[in-house]
Amino acid sequence: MAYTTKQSLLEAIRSNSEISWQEFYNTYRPLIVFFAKRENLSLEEIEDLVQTVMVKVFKMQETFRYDKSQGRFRDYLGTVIHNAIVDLYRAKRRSLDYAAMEMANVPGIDSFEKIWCKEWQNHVFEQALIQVQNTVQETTFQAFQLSVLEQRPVQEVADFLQISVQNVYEAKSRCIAQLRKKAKVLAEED
Amino acid sequence: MNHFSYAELDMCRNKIMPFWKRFLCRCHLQRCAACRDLLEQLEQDEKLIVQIREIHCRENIRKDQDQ
Repeated sequence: MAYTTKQSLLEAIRSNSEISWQEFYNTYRPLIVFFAKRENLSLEEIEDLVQTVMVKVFKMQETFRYDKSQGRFRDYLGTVIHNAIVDLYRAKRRSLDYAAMEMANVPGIDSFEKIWCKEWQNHVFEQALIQVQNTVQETTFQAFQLSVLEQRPVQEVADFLQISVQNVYEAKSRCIAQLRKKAKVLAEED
Repeated sequence: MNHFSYAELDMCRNKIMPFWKRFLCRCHLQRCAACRDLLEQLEQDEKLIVQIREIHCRENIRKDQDQ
C-alpha cells in the first residue's frame, strides 16, 4: 500500500501496522543516513541512529496527532534527528572518555537547520519523483528519465523507446508538470 | 491565436523544430505574453532539472554504497 500523503502515513503508523512502519523506514531512512554520514558515523552507529529516531517516533505516536497548526512534521523530525545525533556524541564521550572531543564538535542547531532545510527540499523532490513514476505511463517516465536525468540525446531516446522526438518532449513536459504539482502538495503537507 | 505548447517551446529553444515552424514560434513569442510566460517557466524548470539531476545522481551513489 502506498501512502500518498504524510498525514495518511502518520495515521497508519498510529494504528501500528507493520507495513506503515516499513513505509516510514523506506521514506525517511535515506534522510537520517545522510545526516549520519555527514557526522562520519560508522555503519553500526548509522543503523543505531536510524533505529533511535524510529523508536522516538514510535514513542511519540501514542500522543501524537498530526496537526499542521501545531507545527510542521519536518521540523519535528529534524529536531528528533539532531537530538539523536547529540545523544550519540554524548554517549561516545561517556563510554570512551572523549576528553579531547569538545562539545564544539557536536553539530550546532543553527548549522543543522540550514542543512536540514535544504535536505528536506531534496527529500520532497525525491518523494515527488517516486510519485510521478507511479503516476505516469512507463514509457513517459522512461523518456523523462533518459532524456532529463541521464541527459541522453533526445533523438537517441526517441529511437530507443521507438517514439517520436515530439513525444519525448511531451513526456518531459508532463513529468515536470506532475513533479511540480506533487512537490507542492508534499511541501504544503509539512 | 493558437498558442505553442510547453513541449513545442522546449523544442524551439533546443533547435529541434523544423526551421519554419521554429521561425513561426519565435515570431509568435514576440507578440504573445502567455507563451513568453510559458517559456520563462520552462527556463525556471531547467533550474529544477539541475536540482533533480543532482538528487538522482546522489541517489545512485547511495544505492551503490548500500550494495
